[in-house]
Amino acid sequence: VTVDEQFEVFVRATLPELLRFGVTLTGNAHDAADLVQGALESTGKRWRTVREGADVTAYVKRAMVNGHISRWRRLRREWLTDQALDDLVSSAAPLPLSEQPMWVALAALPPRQRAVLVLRYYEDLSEVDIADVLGCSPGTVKSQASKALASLRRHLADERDRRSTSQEHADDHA
Amino acid sequence: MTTLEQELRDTLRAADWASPSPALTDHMLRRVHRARVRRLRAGTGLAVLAAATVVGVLVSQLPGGHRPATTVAAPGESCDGLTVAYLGAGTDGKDTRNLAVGLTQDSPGTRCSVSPADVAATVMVEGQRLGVTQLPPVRDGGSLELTPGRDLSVQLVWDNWCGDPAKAAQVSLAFPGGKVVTTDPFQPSPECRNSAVPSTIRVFQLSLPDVSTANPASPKPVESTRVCPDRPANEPPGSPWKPGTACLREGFR
Repeated sequence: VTVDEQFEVFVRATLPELLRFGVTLTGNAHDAADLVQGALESTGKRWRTVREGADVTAYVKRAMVNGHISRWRRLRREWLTDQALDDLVSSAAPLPLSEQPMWVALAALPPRQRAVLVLRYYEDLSEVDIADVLGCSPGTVKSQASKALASLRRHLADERDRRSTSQEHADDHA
Repeated sequence: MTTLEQELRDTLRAADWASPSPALTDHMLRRVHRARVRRLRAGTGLAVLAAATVVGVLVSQLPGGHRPATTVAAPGESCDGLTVAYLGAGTDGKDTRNLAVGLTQDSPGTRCSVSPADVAATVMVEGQRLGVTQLPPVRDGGSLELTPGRDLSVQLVWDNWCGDPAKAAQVSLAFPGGKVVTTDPFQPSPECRNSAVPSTIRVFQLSLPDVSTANPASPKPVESTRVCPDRPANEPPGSPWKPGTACLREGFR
């Protein structure tokens, strides 16, 4: 098996998992595909070294998280993306949760806070492991998680109030 | 775990995405493969250059009696000695798509044969490669032979750029053998004509600026005034240059 074949096998085996992880980080399938693409390109360039590591998938996810936080989200708006990639993603099933209040509240978080929550509640990483991925201290992870949860709580409460008010208006009209 | 945390966990885990189609997987693999090949080519070019340097050093260490008798070797085929000498970006409002990259073949003892179809052009912003599609040359115009000390002007047309014009861009050119040169950052100025389609770049023409009839078969040069968005790399510090002034260095047009 050649090095290229090894890498292809790895990509084919892990792509669904990486795309799901990308969706939790970015909130939508298009951005997730772009993020995965970028992380795989950088991993592919270093494949000979990376494959010797203990957990290659974790390496790619780390690249995705850091890429997402550092520049990717900012650049995405101005990036003329790969049209073929966008078309292929568009043909996939839409996300069922995009209107869900928790999903909307997650979308409002800064990328670093969202990454902390995803690593904690989707990947089940400890604060120490999250700190390792993000290159910060466990204390920072704790404070970021706390701020993120407070934002979610506030956002969801606002959303409940808004829906309650709308319902009252609807009842008044009825 | 609080109710909020449990709800968050459930939401994240329910955010499952349908398995990617085989076409999407294949597309991503192709893109990743191309990126790997580019990297390997660049690495091979550097390795060859390093090996050549080591051999040169070893030969120079030989006792005089063993030194090769020939002091002027025939040039070898390599574009490894190319360095960026100049960048011109069209910002005059007439045709903002034009770029001209001036290069010099610095490596002694090598010559570089290159045609427009051989040059792979990419654009980067803040170190990230943009999704710019390279179009094939309109006409190839044949190969140019670049001997040591000779300058080469690469004229490009970069079109339909919809990014932030305030952010500096860089153009990278990859040559046969893996040599990659990258310009200094400049302010991108191509007009955004349709954000729904990819930006494009085309190597329009190669020319040897100091030889007026270098290639009679090549198309006419791009006609536009180019001004430097930033101080050209070859301008000495302290020279009377200011942004917006024409920076057509003698020999480059």
